[in-house]
Amino acid sequence: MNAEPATLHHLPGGRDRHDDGWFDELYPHLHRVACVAAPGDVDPADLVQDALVKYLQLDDPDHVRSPRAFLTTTIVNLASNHRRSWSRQRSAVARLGRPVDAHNEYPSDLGDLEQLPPRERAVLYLHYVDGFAFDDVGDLLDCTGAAARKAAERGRRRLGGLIEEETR
Amino acid sequence: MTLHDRLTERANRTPPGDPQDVLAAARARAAAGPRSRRSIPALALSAAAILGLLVVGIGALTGGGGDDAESVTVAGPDGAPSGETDSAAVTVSLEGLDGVEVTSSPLMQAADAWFQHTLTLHNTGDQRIVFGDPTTGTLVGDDEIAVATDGCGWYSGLAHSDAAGEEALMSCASAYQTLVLEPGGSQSLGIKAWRDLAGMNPVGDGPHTWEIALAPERGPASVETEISGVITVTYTHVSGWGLRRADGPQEAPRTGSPVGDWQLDSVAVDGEPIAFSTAIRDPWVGIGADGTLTGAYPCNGFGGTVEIRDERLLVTSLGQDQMGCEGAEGAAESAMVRLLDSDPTWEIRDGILHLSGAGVEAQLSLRTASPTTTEPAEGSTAVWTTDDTAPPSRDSESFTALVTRLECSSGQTGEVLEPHVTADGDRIVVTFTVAPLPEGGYECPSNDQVPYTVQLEEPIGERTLVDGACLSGPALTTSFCTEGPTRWAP
Repeated sequence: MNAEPATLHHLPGGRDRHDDGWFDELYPHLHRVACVAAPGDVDPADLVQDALVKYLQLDDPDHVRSPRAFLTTTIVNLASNHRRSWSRQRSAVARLGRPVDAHNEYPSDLGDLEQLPPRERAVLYLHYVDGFAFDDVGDLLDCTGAAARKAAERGRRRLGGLIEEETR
Repeated sequence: MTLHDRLTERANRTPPGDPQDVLAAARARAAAGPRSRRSIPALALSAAAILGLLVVGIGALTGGGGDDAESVTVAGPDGAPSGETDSAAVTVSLEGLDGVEVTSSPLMQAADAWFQHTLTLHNTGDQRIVFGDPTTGTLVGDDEIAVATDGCGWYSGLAHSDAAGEEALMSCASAYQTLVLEPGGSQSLGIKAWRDLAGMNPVGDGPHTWEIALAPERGPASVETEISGVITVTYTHVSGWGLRRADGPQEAPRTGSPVGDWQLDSVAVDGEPIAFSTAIRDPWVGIGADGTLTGAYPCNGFGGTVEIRDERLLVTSLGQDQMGCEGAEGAAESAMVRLLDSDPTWEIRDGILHLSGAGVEAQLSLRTASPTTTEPAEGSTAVWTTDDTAPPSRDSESFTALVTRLECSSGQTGEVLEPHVTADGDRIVVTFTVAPLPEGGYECPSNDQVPYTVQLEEPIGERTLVDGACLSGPALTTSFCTEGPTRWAP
């Protein structure tokens, strides 16, 4: 997100971001994105709160053009960072000879999604469930629509035959 | 369970809390103090100097020198192509980024790209550094950056920066993920610069630049640290590198891609050609972008997997039909089996694919149409998919293709020209083109899909529908073709 003069109309309902109600309207969306993006061992609520702290700690949050996009992107980035940490832990566990997926909390179907990087999960969710066009997904995740589309394609490819025709 | 269901279930896996509680907690944490400002110690040791001793020709530089950018130039290796490329170089400059050291290997030739090199970042500080995605490139995985000249690698675009009127590396901000440098950690990045295979964006001698930046305007990742700055990578005198030399002398680096369907024109063992006939089968070799190997010997069909290396095709899992095959056809077949089994070297000269190995040499030309129902039309490249709302079936004698122009055209695919359709016993290849665009600049959003009814001469039957644009040409390296050319299979 570029730093631009405050444009409060980007907040839902045109709310002033100093009005506590602004977060009420964003929160359900942010929580769902966090649930989708967060690795299995990370509490989605923590991601939302961490992202919100980062937002509030900005020198001038009012200059963030779209808090919704900023927070969404931050959540996904934080999830990516956690995933990298988890990857390193898994590597270490593997060297110790312990089963890597011993703590997979998801049954097989949902476990498939766990194979995807957080960003790809988020893109797939925002596009296929929330119904955002790829350009809008790009706005939310601080990338171009083309990048979002490509991330979705990558995600679909990673899932391979596990996904169904609905995504084509 | 569908993907939609899985995503929905995952999105609802934990109930949301009270937003006001979340906000209050976050405010409390935020109010606990300003962002922690961990001190960044002065560099105790220049790891770059050590690296410089270890790797001949490696340049290194260190951040933290104030506002002035520092830079180091790494020239090409002694074995660089002749002429202007003798001075080909990569220059890495670093502005800000206290505690960051950067080194680069010299430029190297790449079989499938313009050129490549390795960039190594080292974080000598104690603060975690999170870079945003590079501009003009894409962070692919955790350790490779693709610097694209053809539109962020997935569509053919015109959004490149062309200061001084010269086409340059694409200025696409493709943010897929961030790059994390842990305190004391290093990250090596393979940098591969791509250029448009079809010459739509001819690349000059440079300089061409791209950046990895850590700055507030590059997104929220940067709020994790107090460090800011930019690493700028500049290439100069590179027009003689890699694919640019496709029409050059014999010693030119390997060019083109062996991906595609190739007709076997000749095969020779120890220099002696084998005069096989095509009475039983028209032998061919299909090298898929997805690593599949298919084709036919003079008698039997075959299949396997293939990995394209700089000089060789690494063939594995080679299997074939077991029909008896005698005479010259049998000899040619045996020779081809031996050739493919040897992980042959490949080279494309004058449009001919030359395979060589185990004393066998084969020449193959790009497969052309067999029974053609329509002639190709002049136009710009387009890709297509089937219409999921009206998918074809085995009995279909026509189907709806959704056609998308490959190049940038401000979102409009425009007029779809009559497709080129070829068919054989295994597949139906449909290649679309679209009406050329008038001169001018065009934006690069996704182009729309234009429905087009493809008429076939007979039902599809057991054949696959294949997008010919994903067999060869400029679309081959785009995301439209990453899942292969097959658009529908019975």
